[in-house]
Amino acid sequence: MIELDNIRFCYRRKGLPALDGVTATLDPGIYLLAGENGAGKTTLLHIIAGVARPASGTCRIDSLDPASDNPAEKGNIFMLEENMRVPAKTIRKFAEIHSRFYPDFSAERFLANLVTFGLSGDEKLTSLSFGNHKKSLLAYALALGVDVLLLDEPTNGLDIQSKESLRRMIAECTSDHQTVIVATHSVNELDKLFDGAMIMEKSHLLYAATEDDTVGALAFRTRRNPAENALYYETVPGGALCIEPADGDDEPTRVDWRLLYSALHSPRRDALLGYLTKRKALRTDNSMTD
Amino acid sequence: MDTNSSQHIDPTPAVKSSFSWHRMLEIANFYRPSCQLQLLIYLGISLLLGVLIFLPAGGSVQTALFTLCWAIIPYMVYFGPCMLTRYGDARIVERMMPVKASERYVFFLLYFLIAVPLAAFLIPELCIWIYSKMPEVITEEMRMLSDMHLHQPLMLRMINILGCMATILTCLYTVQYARHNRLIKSIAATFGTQIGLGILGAFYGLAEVFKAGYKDGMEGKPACLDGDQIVSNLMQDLFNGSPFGYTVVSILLIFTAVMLYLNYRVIARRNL
Repeated sequence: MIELDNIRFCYRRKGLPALDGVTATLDPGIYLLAGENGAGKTTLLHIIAGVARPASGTCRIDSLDPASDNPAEKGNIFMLEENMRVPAKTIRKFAEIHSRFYPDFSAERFLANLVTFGLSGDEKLTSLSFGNHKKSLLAYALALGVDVLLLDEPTNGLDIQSKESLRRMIAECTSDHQTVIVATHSVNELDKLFDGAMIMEKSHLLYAATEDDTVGALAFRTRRNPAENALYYETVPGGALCIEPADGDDEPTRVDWRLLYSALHSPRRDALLGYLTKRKALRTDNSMTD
Repeated sequence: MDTNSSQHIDPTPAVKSSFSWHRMLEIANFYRPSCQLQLLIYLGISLLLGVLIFLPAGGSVQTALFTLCWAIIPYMVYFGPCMLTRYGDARIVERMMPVKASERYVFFLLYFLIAVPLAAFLIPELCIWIYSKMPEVITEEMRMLSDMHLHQPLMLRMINILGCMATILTCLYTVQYARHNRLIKSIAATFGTQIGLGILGAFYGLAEVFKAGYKDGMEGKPACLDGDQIVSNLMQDLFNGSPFGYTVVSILLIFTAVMLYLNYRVIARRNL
């Protein structure tokens, strides 16, 4: 479980915070991390990966500090950066020298991932295109078997088919005890993958919840005309995509993370967040009464 | 999503949390491709330079080659840590490696302070030693240079070693610390340290010659010591040590200790 408690981070001592008051608890699962450019997504991933220390607040992974000097703890986390370079000529060579540090690395999975992406692993990384370079690294990262895998913009540079393969691969490679956080702008392309989401804006975490919690509070519907109680809607040809308060009697709808992201970055944000806060308080009261 | 981590059985054995030499060897293995290439290049260059000073050109050419050799080799050693910038920005991979900071640190110290200097200095040193055993093929000037090199006063040797260590550690620190343009910044820091050490050396030299009796001559007064006596006093100070020499050694020791600490801190913090 990843616990982020009131994290604040500044790149410069007197500069603006890159992260401010970030608090969330993430159980194992696949999470979307969305936010506009410069919102603090990569910084948050760096803090979870233990390669940046918050100015205040704490980050804990299974109650341990990811920035600690404990090899066992470090061996459970891996972050794949957007433009990551590795010190080897080919991804196979890199896997040979690097996977030794990760006891749960699966060579079979690695090779299968490479095949899925149409790569052999013997291609020179310097001569590969940006997309193929990315695929090589993704094939490797997904085979590491770490408890916490952080992917920063994994779909950038990937063709349509590869994005679909990546979606399948992430789902297949993630076991029940693992947490995968995918920072991406391509929410639609990785649709149906996420068990939860963290949505950021300007160094603040606006929303962090699982899919179950989200559908428990919100309903995502397509209507000809938006309902009166719609918390947010977007007009599309032939109707409107709406976010409405979930009615306990209705069949739960599937979360449209893209729509939720747009809602949280719209003028309707305060109304939506206000509703979610009230709903959460109500649920807490109910559970205490039960 | 309920946490079911309690149901997950970790099949891997417990990872040793104390210093592990095995993990340190794995770090060496991780850097092996770059290290191998660097050591091969360094051995090749030092062999070439070692052979060059053997060329029977005689006289000033040989002296110039000797000087060139001893100007190039130390810089090869100083810039050793630049090897870490070979693959551009692979810092996050290095920083995330599940190893202890002390293991990475010990590897860097062993490699950059022992292996690289050995690869760079061993062959030329050996060449000079062999050279000194062949008086029939060398000029008098070269014999003096070889002798001076092989029989350096202890004080000078200490200053050289500490200065070399301090420069390597500065380069290593800059490579580790800099976020962007790591290569350029580390080269600049290395030259900066060398200039600083040069100024320190100049003060030391100045203090020594003034102490040795040069001051009177500078002020136009009749020297109380003749030229030979001044040189003799200087050499005596270098061999036996002098307060100025000890001051320089102390400054270098403090600087080296600070750089050792800063290097450990930057590795331990793992900050990108």
